Amino acid sequence: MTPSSSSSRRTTSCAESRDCTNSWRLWLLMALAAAPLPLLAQDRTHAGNGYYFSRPAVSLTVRGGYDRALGGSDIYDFTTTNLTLNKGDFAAFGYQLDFGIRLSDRSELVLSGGAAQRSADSEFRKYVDNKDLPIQQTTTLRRVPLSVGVKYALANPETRISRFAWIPARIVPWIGAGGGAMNYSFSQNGDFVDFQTLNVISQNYRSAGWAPMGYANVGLDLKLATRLSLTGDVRYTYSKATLSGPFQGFDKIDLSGTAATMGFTVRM
Amino acid sequence: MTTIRKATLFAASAVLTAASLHAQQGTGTMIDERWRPFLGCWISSSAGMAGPMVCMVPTSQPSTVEMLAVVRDSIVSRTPITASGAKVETSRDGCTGWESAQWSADERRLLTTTEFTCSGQPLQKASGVYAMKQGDEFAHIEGIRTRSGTRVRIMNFLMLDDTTRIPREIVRRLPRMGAMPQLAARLEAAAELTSADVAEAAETIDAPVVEAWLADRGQAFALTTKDLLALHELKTPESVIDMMVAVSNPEVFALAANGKPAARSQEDWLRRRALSRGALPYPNGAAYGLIDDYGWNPYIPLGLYSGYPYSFFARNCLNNPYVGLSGNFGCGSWYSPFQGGAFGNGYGYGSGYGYGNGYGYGGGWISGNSPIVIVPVSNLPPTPPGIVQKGRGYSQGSGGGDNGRTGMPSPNVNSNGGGSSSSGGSSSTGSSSAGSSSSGSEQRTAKPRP
Repeated sequence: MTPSSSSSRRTTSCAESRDCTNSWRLWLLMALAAAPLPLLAQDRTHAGNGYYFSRPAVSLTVRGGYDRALGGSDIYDFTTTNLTLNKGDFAAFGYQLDFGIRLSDRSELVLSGGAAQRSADSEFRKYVDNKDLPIQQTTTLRRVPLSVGVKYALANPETRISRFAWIPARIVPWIGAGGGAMNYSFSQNGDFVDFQTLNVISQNYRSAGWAPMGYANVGLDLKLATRLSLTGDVRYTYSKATLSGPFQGFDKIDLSGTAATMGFTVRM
Repeated sequence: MTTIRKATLFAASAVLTAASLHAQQGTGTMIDERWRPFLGCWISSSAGMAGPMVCMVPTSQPSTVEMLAVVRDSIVSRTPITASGAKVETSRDGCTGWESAQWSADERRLLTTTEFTCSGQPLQKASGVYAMKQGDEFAHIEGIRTRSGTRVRIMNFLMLDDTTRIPREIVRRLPRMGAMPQLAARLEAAAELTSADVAEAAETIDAPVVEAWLADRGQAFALTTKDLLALHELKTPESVIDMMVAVSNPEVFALAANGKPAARSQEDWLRRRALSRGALPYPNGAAYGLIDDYGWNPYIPLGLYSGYPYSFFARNCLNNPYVGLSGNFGCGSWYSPFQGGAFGNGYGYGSGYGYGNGYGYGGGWISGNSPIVIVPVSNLPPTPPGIVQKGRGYSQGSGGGDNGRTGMPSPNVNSNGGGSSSSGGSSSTGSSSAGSSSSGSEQRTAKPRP
């Protein structure tokens, strides 16, 4: 009987789970990164009662949410065929920081950085050891995109009343695109079956490196306060990297993915 | 009911108006109530320099007052001002033209416009406003359009209550300055401006005049987006709105050398904040920043045809409630509002935010209920690098072979794969995970699932 990925995978409580710990770590990091936003938003040196003193020149966004790796290359097929994993196991909680520099009334240059990591425990689908125990390991995919892009608002983000009075729009939809580099790490750590000898071996297989990336996104800014907005972002990222180190004969690893994130933007 | 109330109010108003248009005792003059706050004698000043005494006295025409300039005991000039809204043809010093003065909708301010043509000179257009500032002071702000823009002057008038200094001829024509109707009228006329008042003024008089008026007055407006949009729809000049925003946010804006509001410099901002917290000493015992600013202000020597120095800023620096240690309107330098490090330390990506490193990931921690024996790292045999080959799967790699770790048969295997085994004083969980194999003589091997 081949165990299904869901039934045979080790289920652990949050306190024990490395994956869960990582998620908490990510949440914590995001909370720390977002903590200054309300303080910045209250700073009265750039805005009056519901309006800006000047057109915002920069913005800072902290976002977090669901980031799903598409897993469209043979390394994923190999992994999900042999181990009790499926491609959905590489979906992760990701967070991102965007620093925007205003280019024109509607466009913004956006420098972004973020991270998404998921570790999934698994065991061999077709093998157990000589004591009928599962042969277990952990597969981790980490993606760290760094990009430069342009964001274009589909509606005027502000109405100019005068040089010192700009009223922000309540809702601003926008689109964007950009490119950059993706740092990745794909690792498998634990016990494995040497298919030549059927010995169980303990190993840490890891490939890491950089690859070019491109993205396109759409989003929406919903004004919460004069300088504080709730930001939703849905993006597709394309990237493929050559597997290095112990992974031999595989095509490039697909680092592409879709992400739906939400966060806060402060404009100044 | 409403009609009755309106009728009653109208009747009361009519009675009051009739009563107010009574003849001054023994003078035959009439008083339009809207003029009442301005009636009396005043010490004029501009640029912090005292000018002549100026008296506003009623005439036989209720809508007209005479503005008298008094030097010592002599009246040196008489200028009638008719607040009827009509254009009054007039000639002055060989120039001809018209003057018009109308009360604001709330009847508190007088808005004036004039056009004069002098021989050989281009048409001169001017506009101005008479507005009460406080119960004992009013300002006349006037601007003349020139080819290079509008030149503005501000005259301030401080009430003179000492009638012994006023010529008797004038005293006879004036109501008593300290009398309750006079005081009440002045206080009423000095009420706070609304944004609608400003919009109305901006429709009639030139924007630079309104700006100067607002700057001189220094009143903060509780501007909301609704107010701003209303001003925008009324086509109030942007420069006027800017001034409203500036005087409403004195902690952010100051007047630049060109007379326009600008955001404060970072240094200025920090300095003023430090001063407000008592962190900096006041040099020479003077109000720090104020005197210096006052001293180099380029506006001070700027004069207009009246001969009085244009004193907008000097005046502000001395008396404006927005100028001073806590704060400030006027007398400042400017800067880009976005300078400084709003972002920076602590917000960068990457550094310090990496995953895995240093977080004890996988190193020595295992799950399960069995006792844990921590094996010193130095006792573990090195693991040769493995490879994963497409089509061939996982292998130990060129280092070859297994790692020598084997497990003893486990008598207790629980349903979730957890179990324990021990040998030679060491143990591990039965479910093997990274680094959890126990040492022993038996090679751990794989077999197909049953």
